[in-house]
Amino acid sequence: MSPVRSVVWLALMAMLAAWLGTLAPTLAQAADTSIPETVPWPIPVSLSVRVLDVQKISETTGELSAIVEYTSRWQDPRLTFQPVAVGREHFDFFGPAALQRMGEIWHPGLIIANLIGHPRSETHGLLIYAKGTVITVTTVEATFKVNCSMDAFPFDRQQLALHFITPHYDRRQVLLVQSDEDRLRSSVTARPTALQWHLEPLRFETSRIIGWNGQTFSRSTFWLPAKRDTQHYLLRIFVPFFAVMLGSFFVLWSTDTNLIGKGGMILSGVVALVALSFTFEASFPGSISMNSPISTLLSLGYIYLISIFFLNMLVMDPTRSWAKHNPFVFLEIRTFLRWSLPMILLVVGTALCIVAAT
Amino acid sequence: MNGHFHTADLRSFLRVQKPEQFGEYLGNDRPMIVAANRQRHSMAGLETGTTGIGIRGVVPVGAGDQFAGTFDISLDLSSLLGPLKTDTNADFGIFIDMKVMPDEATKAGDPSTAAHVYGDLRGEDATNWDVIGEVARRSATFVTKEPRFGTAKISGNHYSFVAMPLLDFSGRTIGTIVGALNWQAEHVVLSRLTTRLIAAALLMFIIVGGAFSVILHGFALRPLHTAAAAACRLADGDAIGDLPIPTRRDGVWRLLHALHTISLRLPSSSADSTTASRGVRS
Repeated sequence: MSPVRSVVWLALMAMLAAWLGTLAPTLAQAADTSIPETVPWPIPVSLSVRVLDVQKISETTGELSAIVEYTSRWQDPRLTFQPVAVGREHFDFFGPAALQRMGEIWHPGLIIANLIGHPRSETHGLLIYAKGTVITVTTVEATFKVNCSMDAFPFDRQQLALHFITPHYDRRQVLLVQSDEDRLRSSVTARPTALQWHLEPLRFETSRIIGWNGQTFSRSTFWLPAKRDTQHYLLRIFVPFFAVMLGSFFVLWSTDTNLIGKGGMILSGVVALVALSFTFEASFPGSISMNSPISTLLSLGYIYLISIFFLNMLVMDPTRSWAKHNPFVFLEIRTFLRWSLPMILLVVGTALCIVAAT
Repeated sequence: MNGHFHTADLRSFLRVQKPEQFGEYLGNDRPMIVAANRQRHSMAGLETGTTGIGIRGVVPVGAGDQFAGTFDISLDLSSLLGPLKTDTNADFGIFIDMKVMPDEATKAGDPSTAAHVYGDLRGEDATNWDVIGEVARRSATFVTKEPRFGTAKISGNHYSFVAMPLLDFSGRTIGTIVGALNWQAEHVVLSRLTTRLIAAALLMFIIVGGAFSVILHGFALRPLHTAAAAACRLADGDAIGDLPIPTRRDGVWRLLHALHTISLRLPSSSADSTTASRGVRS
């Protein structure tokens, strides 16, 4: 072998050894999926969430269909590498490659606890930085179980929750945190597919829960406030209601003593309210069946009309003997009822709406 | 967490995390080390150093009675904020009085916190600058010797906050720690309760006021009005027509009945007396 070939051969061997040297730690770490022991426990796993779209909010079933991207970040000193030797600051993996690499390293096994069934689609991204910072970016399109309340319909603001937990690691091992940076990274789409909802900025909450094995686990909850676009509902709900109620003014203020005619008007108003409640339930599911302020308002309407019916028959009828015996008191009571009954309905209805809108 | 050995003559001997940096004199910037060195006694608490504020503990080190120096262990105060927020769901911020900070620390401060300067206070760290910064802006002079409480509406949410003085190991005020808790849910409950109370008060006003009005007008004012009108018509020589007279024989009944009787006796109203007598209900 000539000296030149020997030198080239040796140089190649040296380069191969150097390459294997840089690769060795990575290979050594490849199968190490155990929780890092050199990092103080609990390992802080910071979490940020981007709500990319809200497709549907079903109040009656308590379901949220959305596309959510969540990013988790933690430190694993076993994954550090020399950026100069490798020639890059971080390794990026996407899709199946990310899943494969995540199977080789430790990760906190973060899940969304209130996800129903399996996601309709799911993508994964993984970044490993030279200083051992690991970032996973997961995008899921799925349906989530959420608590919905119609207590304030149509002025409601639903607080939709996404609960993140690490079921494999309790609070002694993993702590879910949100820093100021995570808060700034988290965002909500301004134009969701569900057009009748305005999405507001996410709110974070951390808590402890007792897990499947009796241990305490860290839970991070992202609250997505969704405000209903009330303007779409006001005319469709309140105009028919007040139109039905208008008949009562005629009954109250008319001096006609024909009780049958007035009773017929009241009963037709009651029937109109029944029709309205069916219409509302069909148009806005849950608005009547889930005990919303609208259903309370309709109930008040029934009580109001029936009260007028009986008062008109018993108290406001001038042919009654008590009215003849107390003519001045009768006149005062009739005047009082004429303005106080609509006023009471107005006050209670307005208070109901203000309480719901607050 | 950092460990640091110092010699008896107050010089840096070994920084566990940064062994290459040693030898400088610490007597000017590290009062806690000076105190532990001179008093030969362990010290613990907050201290401002050249790298900023930290929770530190210093103990004398020696062999037997021979004093060799001191050793301190320090923890970055900011590192506590995250777990504190996790446990309480409140936001926290630390502000340091720049007058008590060493010049090096003021210059070496985190550039990201340079924007968070409120009067003499400089924001060191916060879990949510939007909230804590707004609290600080509204209470710019909260360098205080005693806790201060308040409320603020920030980004549509109601917060309660408390500002506590931050004391170093010697009891000197070196800044303020602020905690803010979102109580929007409780505020909504309070607002709804207020609305319900106002509505209930209005209903009570309508019902009680109406009842009072019915009693007052029905039994006194309206009969008097009717009697006065009838008397005026009699005085003018007109017939009083159909007088409504209640059946109960009280003062109103007597008054109206008397008017009716007068109207019957008046000659000018004799023409109407037959009609009027038919109109009397007794």
